Amino acid sequence: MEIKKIDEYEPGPLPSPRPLDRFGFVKQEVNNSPHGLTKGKSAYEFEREERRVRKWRKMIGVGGSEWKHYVRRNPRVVKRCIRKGVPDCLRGLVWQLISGSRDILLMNPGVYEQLVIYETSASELDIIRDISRTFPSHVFFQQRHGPGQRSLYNVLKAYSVYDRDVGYVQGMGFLAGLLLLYMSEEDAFWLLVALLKGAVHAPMEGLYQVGLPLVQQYLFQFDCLMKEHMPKLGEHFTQEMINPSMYASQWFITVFSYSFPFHLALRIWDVFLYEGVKIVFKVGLALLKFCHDDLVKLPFEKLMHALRNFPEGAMDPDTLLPMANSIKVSRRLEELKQEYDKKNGK
Amino acid sequence: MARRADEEYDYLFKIVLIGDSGVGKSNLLSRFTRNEFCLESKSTIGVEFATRTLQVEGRTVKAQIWDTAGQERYRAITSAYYRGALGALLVYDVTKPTTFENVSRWLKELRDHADSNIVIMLIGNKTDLKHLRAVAAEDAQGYAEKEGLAFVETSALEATNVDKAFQTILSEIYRIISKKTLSSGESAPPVSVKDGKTIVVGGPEPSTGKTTCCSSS
Repeated sequence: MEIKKIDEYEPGPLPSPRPLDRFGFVKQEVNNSPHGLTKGKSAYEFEREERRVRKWRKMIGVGGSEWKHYVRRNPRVVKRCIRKGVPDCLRGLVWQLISGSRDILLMNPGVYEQLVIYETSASELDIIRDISRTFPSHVFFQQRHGPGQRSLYNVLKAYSVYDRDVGYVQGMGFLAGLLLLYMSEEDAFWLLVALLKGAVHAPMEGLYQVGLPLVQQYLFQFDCLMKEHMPKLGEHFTQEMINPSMYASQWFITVFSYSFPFHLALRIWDVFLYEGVKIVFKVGLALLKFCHDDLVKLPFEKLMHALRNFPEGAMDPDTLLPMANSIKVSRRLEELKQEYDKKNGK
Repeated sequence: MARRADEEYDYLFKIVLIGDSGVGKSNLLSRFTRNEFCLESKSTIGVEFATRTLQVEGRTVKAQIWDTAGQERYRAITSAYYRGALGALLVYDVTKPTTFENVSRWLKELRDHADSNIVIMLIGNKTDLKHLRAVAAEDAQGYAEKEGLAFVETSALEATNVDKAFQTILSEIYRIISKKTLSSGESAPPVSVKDGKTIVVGGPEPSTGKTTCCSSS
């Protein structure tokens, strides 16, 4: 065997301290402005944030006891609040409530431990190979064989045993990694199960099954939608031979957690867990819309670059998400799915 | 807008980077196109893309390189990118024998999905990890000769032989292309990835962006 199991290793040295952003990622650029590193929120912003947290606590109740009741009575309020962003201190709990993972966890006591400790997986070497390549710039995952890397390994291994058809596929690590920054291993595992097996929304396991069938379907749907919403850009892309597999596969496979700014990814995930995958389509369309007038002028290679390097303005969740939510896709997505199934003889 | 000299080219060659996951494909690409190496690199999801323009046999050649995710399951997406490629760099890791053993599977993959006259070069990467070497250069050389592939060992980390690898495959492609045009008696058409459609070349290359090799997430 080329690589030993990760838990047979001693943890590596702690990474040397480097300036981190508020989410724990190593800062890319040293900010020279005197307020750059220490700039806090204004008193007004603080108060507003506190009010928001108080409101959320009321909605959730102690340990989530009020949540279901509240959602049933005020679905519109909940949707609006989630679109505005879940307070970071409550994110872990809220995500488990809205994804339905909390219920699955309670129905399966001891199962996770069993999967981690007693089962072996054919994917173990594949998982280990990618552990240090998942959020490598986040402090939690930087230490070799440290707590972050171990948790990530355990969750992915447990999943690969739990669902041997899926096993482990590159990209799943970014989902698990994102969740682990907000909850325990066991909670992250069941949230992954809730997503892939479809506790509340359509199951996502097709993103990772052999042939990546759901990736293919989503890319087909996205291609049609973008051509319908932005005919001029659609025509330009066709002419330049740009297709969504060149830029949007990552969006779907990792739900924007692979290469987008973390604060934006979190806001997308808030909505994604509550409203489902349609937000990925909407955000994708909003990104193209935001840059539409530039994109229609660019030739192939510059397009390839622009579609991976969106301008800073587009990365502001309070700009991008309202734009995304103004695009209606639900009905058309359903029609396009049927069209896709028919085309593929289903 | 005035074109810079390096944006004009005589030929455009499409090349794919393939091989098992974790052998260093993305770092070979970043070393060749941006002279960068990233120790904290993320695994590639789907496909990535970069270009570099250089001189080959006195001609200006633009290499358009597609870097693909190595995990087997991703071939459902990545194999579409073999079509129209004039060259393939098939990479293995000299410290991991299984990545070398899988080379034959990758060759089959190319025969199934790529054009039959594609130029293939075998690359043994990570020679900087001397104490961990597990695949002998002679074995790989022998295998390459048997299969009719070019072969070189590289270190993307130390920037050893990376340019040489790309130069070699581009020269080989150029030789084949120019032979073809000679025999058919036509003047050399610009070779394009887009099935005969020449890409309009505009402003500066991706390297002008502010992106560093590691993004913040």
